[in-house]
Amino acid sequence: MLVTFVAPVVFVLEGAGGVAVAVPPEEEPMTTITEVPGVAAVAPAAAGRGYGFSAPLVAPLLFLAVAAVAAVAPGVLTGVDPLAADPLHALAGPSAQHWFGTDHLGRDVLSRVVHGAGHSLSIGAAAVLLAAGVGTLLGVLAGLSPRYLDELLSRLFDVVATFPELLLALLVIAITGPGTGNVILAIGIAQIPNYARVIRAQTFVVRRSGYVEQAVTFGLARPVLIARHVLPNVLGPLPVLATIGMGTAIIATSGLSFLGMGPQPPSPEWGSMLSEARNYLRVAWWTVFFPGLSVTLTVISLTLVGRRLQRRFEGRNR
Amino acid sequence: MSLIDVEDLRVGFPKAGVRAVRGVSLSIAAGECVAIVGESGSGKSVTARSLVGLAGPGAEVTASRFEVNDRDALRFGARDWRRLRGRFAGLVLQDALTSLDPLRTVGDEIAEVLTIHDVVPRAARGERVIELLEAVGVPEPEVRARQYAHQLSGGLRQRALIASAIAASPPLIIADEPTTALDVTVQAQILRLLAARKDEGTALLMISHDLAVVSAVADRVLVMKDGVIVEEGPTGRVLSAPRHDYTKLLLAAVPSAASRGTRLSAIAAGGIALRTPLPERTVDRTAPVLEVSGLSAAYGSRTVVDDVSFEVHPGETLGIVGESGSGKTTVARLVLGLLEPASGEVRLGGEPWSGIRERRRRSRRSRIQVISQNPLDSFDPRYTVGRLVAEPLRGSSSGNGSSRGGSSGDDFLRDVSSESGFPRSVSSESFPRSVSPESEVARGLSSESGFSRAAPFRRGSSRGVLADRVAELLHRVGLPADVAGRHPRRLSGGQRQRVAIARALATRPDVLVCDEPVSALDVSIQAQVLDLLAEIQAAYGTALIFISHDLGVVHHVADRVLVMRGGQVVEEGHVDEVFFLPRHDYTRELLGAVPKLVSAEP
Repeated sequence: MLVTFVAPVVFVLEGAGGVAVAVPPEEEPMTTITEVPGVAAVAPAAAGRGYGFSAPLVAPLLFLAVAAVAAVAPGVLTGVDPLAADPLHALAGPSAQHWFGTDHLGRDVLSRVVHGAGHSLSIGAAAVLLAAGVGTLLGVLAGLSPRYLDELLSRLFDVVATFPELLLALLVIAITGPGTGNVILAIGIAQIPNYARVIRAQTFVVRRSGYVEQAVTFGLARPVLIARHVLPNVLGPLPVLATIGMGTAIIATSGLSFLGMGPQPPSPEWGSMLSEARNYLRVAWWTVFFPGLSVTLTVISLTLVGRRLQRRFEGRNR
Repeated sequence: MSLIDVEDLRVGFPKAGVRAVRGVSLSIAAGECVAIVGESGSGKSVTARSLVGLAGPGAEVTASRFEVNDRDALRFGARDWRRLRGRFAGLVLQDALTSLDPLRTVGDEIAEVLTIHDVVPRAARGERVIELLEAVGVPEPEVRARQYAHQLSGGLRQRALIASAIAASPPLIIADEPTTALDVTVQAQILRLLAARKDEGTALLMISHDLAVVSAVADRVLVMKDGVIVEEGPTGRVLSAPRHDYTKLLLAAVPSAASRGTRLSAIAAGGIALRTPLPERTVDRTAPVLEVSGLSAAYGSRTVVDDVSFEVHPGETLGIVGESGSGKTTVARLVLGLLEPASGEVRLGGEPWSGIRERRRRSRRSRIQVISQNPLDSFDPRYTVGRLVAEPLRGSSSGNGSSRGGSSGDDFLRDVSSESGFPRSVSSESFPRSVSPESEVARGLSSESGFSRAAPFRRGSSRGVLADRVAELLHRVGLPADVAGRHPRRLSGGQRQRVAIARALATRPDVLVCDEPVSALDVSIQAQVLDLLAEIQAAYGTALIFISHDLGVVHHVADRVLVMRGGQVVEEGHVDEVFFLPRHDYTRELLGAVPKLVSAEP
């Protein structure tokens, strides 16, 4: 995931189609030949890598922890009111008093960035929750349905997934109008296929597994069987998807807010801060730099953590 | 002159804390066939791999003498080893599919050996590849050389692998379980092929867990256990007059016609392995518990089961044999009600079992249970052993634990012959019965205070009873009660199969379908599992449908046998009749292909 930071700020969404978690293969990993045919290369030692927190993961986790604190209790990190304007000190550079400087109305940028976390992260999280919830439901439904229904749902996912996420979100907003709730809805809908597709594939695997067949021989009623054996085993890749999806959702949130579709001024939100500040980029880089940096670091952190989760998940299924 | 001369070979993996090979001495003369026999974990494969410098990453190889091709291999670097492989020793492994590059044609694969060792001029390579494929008996070599590994059958693949192993005409072939994944008739072909190489003067080092396979080819046998060679000698002598207790036990554990009615896990007493008789088992001939008539099934347009009929009586064992693709497993699925037959009928306990709604079948499902080849596949990956075994007891209506049947504790060992009637009370069937406090298991459990915590069950009232019942079942299959809290992934293959058996027994089924239940197990573990099944059958009068490709196993366990081929039953009858006096050509072919354990050598 790459976020370029240029003036005026442009977000590049990479691979809006979303992240796919490979469905774990059922077979043992193959041993491949590297030297003479007929001479099998010895499988690499099953090293204990991939477990625990390695050094590269410490920074992202730390950053996410700070962001989470900012979102839940911004007062812990800053005592300054993010809405308190002080026109006399407008566009003041970073100083001991205002670490991140002030914006065009003299508001403390640090305070706004901290309070903005709440908006950006909660919108992102809510959108992910919506997408994951509905996506899982539809994915399981498709995976368990008779062929024609599965076919219908799958084509529906395909149609939705055809649109770039941001474009689809804009389309939804065009219908519903701007606002926090609508942004959540828009991003949520746009992300549904990511979850639905993976969960559907996972459902197929689980449905045909030996243990589900075995459960049938115990005489379990279908709903019990699904609740007890199919659902819990289908949800495996969800944390991975959600973490990586969260990054995408936050970019989309900021992007929509930048366009004025999200939380309305004066409430602080990273995207809308960027939008307000872009006119002063030439004279006050800090008004753009810090909110932009926050978005960038949050997304990079989430992606790094998500990738690690993904590797662990796939490793576990070997 | 020896091709390989090793003394006191030791291979350890210090990182994993494993000492795989602990002092093996071995020499292979030119043109000789030496076999290493042992069970998994005995170090036989590591030994063989060390001989070509492939002991594995992190391996520490030491020896007091290690001569390969009359050179001191202890001082070999990676390049020396590389030059040796293919040129001096060709390696043939068990699974040709994973040993052959999926992205290259078989011909390219073989040609590569020729290229590396510069055996023939470039222009002649294509021709040589065809010659090699011809030499290993691959029909239409020109066509096959252009195909990929996955397009070939298991037997052809193994032949192609052998062709690549002999491409550079090495004086030695090392074959690690070369026939284990193959059907018996194909196995016979591959063994003949290897024997032919030997006759042409190639030395052969065979690694196998199967004594019979080895006896067909080997001049000398080395029996390995826990990293040491416990016995070694000429094949005939080792097989007919074994000296070490382990060899004796290993030989006694091989199921066959001769072992019928006796336990396979023998006791070594006074230098001889004694087979103790199994408990008597009675077959109730009054009414069959399972009737199958005119059964057919198809996947798409391909008929996989064609007009199969049989009956199974309480307490009886019906064997079904056949090679892969013969429809054995499909029959199992039909009988289990997991697949609807295209035509024909299955009746369980005298009532229709196929062609009815799943809803009607559900309450009777506890009467027929299954054990499969790979128990791990049949375990929900999130479950502990305790939860797995308890699952069939909880059923789908775990809401009313109070309607438990009031029968007393000895129900588990009740007289089964009085039970052929149907239907029996379902509510008392699906729930655990109380365990009498006097029972041995209950006493054993009272000291296991940690058990109920280890197996968390939802329903407070029935939790204790369920836990008791689980412990009782685990005890019945010879597992300690504390296994209940463990995850099956951390158990051995034999223990996993015991868990599967405990779970299948939980509902005290009338019919137990065993689909290749011991195929993935070592012979001594196989012996224990077969003994356990026989004891359970004798105690509860369960009817067994025993599906296997291993004729020896079937001859050991079965009363009657069906021989299947291409979805059809080609021959059926009493197991002795079918196996000793086969009428059908295919049965004869199957039997002829089975490697005989006892060597004719004096």
